[in-house]
Amino acid sequence: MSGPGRQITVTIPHDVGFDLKKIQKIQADLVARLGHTGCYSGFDILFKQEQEFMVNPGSLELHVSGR
Amino acid sequence: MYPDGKKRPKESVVGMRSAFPTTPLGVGLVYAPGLEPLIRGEPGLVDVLEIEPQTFWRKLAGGRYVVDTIRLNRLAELPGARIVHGVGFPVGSVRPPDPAHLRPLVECITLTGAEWASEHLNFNRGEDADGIYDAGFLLPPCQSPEGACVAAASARQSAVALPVPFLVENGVSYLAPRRGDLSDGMFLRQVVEQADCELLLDLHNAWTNDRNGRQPILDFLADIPLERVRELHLAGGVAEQGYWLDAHSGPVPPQLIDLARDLVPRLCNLNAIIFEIMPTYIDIVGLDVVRRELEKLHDLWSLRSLAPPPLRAAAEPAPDLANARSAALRWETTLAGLVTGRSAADSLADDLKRDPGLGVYRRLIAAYRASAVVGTLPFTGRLLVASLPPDALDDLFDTFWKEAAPEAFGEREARNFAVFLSARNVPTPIPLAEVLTFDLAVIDALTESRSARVSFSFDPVVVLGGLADHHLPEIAGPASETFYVDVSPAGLNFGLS
Repeated sequence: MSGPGRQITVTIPHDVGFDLKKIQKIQADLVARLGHTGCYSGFDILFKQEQEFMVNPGSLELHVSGR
Repeated sequence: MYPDGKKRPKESVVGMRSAFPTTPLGVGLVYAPGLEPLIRGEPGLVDVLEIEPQTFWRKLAGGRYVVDTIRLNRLAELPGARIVHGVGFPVGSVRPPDPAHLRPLVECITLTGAEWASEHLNFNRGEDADGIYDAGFLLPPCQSPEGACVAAASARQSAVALPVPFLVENGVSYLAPRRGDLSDGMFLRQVVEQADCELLLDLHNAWTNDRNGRQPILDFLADIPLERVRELHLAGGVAEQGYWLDAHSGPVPPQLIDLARDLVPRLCNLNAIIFEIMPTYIDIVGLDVVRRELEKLHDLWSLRSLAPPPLRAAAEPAPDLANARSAALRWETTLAGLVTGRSAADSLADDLKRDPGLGVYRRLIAAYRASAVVGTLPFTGRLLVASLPPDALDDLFDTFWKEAAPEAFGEREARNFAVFLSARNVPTPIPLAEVLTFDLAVIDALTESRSARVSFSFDPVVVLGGLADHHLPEIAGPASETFYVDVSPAGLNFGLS
């Protein structure tokens, strides 16, 4: 396997309130998730967390229910 | 850093040893990138790093595994001794672990200079008419004398193939105890004594079993050969729908620390105490909490026995395997089939269907798979979460779970879900195909060093920026210009053509 350090850098040409750190963190977290899952026998809460954080602008309701 | 404050000696990188280190390693944690500030910045806090080797692997289409040596070698900069903790090839099964994993495992042991390696006393595969499949979770083994016999054979096979000592870890079971089974402790004793290997005692696993109605932990500790315990795991968990889950979600429960305080002085061969926390929870609880847990573990470490170890009981002769295999095979095929939604209709299946623990496994596997999808296709995942009502998203996932067996490697699960999604017309306010193509291009760049230009009919700075910020950006309609993102191993470049 080859590659320059398994990190993606982001450059943005114009400023629209884009949070560069957030997108960098998303890419860093992704790298750690591409291999085998780690050692645990409990809930992986990432999906639930995404639901809780996400506001649907169509309904302006916080998605907290689900799985 | 070693307990005496020195850096890891260079010769330890050779990684070929058959005995445990003469100097016990101390206190450590399971490596995760988010823990690096603690590992690097606070001398004496982390003596040893436990590395989960398969999290640094890729599974290729032909079933071969390759080590991401670039990521793994980055760890060489970190202080402390190393141990390797397998997470993908458990030894509690009638089916020996896939032999293809041995070469990359030995490579990881050698590259990291690990002092020993360990694996779980579980199984994680089933078999149907199409062949062997991944069950998507560590499942409890057949806990009869026959099951102990096949697990011991599997553990022996792993132990002789490795250049370092091999430890077996006790697992969690969310199933009710079954009449005729060995107790959790006696099962573990039989396996390690028949295999003549050492023990990684996960105290939180044993406590979880106790809390969920299995063997009381003091009885469990009385049953197991404490002189074989070389490593201790401690972690936190959560209560969920009447069960205590081994979630690795934060601080060690105070009752468990009290229990460890009584236990550690009795562990005459203890070489390391490791704190486990799942990467997702590091941001939630914060590094200060992790630091405090490590300090508690240092207090426990100071209580360890310094007396010479007692004479060890002779290894038990292994019973004949011939009759053991069929009982264990039936158990594994039935349980793996049921947790992955396959049909099964015999007396064992009927028993298991009455066990509410079966539903726990199904919920955990679904949560794991959904998290794997949104974690590996992050912008696609957020677009789906933002666009679909929860019930519709659940239905979409349920259809995928039925069509595709779980894949323990995140990249494989992501690519399978991308194929599944591409064949469907899922309504989203922003073209799903564009966002999915972008996510896949990032994976290609990270895993295969490929570059690609991804076109967008909307401004990707607004779209991806909004999703990164957990909201669906408002966009009036397709733009007159064509936007693109160049995705390459060097980075993302946003442009307009």
